[in-house]
Amino acid sequence: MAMTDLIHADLHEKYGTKAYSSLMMHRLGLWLFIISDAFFFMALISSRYFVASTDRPDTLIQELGLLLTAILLLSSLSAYRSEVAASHGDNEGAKRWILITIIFGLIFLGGVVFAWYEAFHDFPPASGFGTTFFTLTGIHTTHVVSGIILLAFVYRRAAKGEYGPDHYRGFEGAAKYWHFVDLAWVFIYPILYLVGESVEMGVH
Amino acid sequence: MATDSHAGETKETKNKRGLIVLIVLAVLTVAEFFAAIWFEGALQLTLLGGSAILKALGIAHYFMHWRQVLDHIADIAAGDAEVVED
Repeated sequence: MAMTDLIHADLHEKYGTKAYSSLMMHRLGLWLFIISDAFFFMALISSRYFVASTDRPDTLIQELGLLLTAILLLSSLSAYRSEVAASHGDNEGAKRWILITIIFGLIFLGGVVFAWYEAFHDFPPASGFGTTFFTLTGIHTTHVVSGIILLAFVYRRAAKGEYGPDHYRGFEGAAKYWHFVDLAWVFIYPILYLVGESVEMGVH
Repeated sequence: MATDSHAGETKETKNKRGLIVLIVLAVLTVAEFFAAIWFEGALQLTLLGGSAILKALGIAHYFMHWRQVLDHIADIAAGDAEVVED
């Protein structure tokens, strides 16, 4: 399935076992990082049930969560398209799609800031659900910010023409990290916005 | 060495697949939203959990190409690749 397996095969043929092995080691390293980060998110997500049971504040804006999810899913498609473009040597397309991904990321950040603003007014941050909500969205947002910085770095390198169809490892790494950010949100969204029964959790 | 059943695909084919994956993810997301409204208790939890896992698998498989890792490990085991440091 892997789109980059095209290069996987080509590298082995063109540059021999060592170049292929090097690419492989980088990919395995990236995946180890992603898996370790996933465990961190799993621990935080499971803590929701210990800290706040299945209660959800009745003032939580579920539509906002849906909108944030839609934005991140769209950004995953644009990240995918940028990687496809890079793997085919289409540098302009890769730059364009990575820029679109960054814009989606910034819109998502704006949405999270709005969600926090509303949340501060709607339920106490010190409550069980408030603790879970701000911790989970806060940690995820740091990943979004670091993802945007990574994508911006890759965009800068792509603008200098440093990537080609045979060498776009940085592109692949940044795109995979961004997909992971999306993947984490796929679980965070229902855990925070959908699961359980809504109960009154007023600030006062 | 690992083989790729999609090797030689055009950019358009890959982009089309990406779009189809996005549409499926969007449909599941909307379904989740209504499942949370219409159902409650264990059924709601099962539906939401199942949908989230399906979406995660879709992203990991089609966007993150997780099969590469298994291919690479298989390559190392088969001796088609070296463990290198650079």
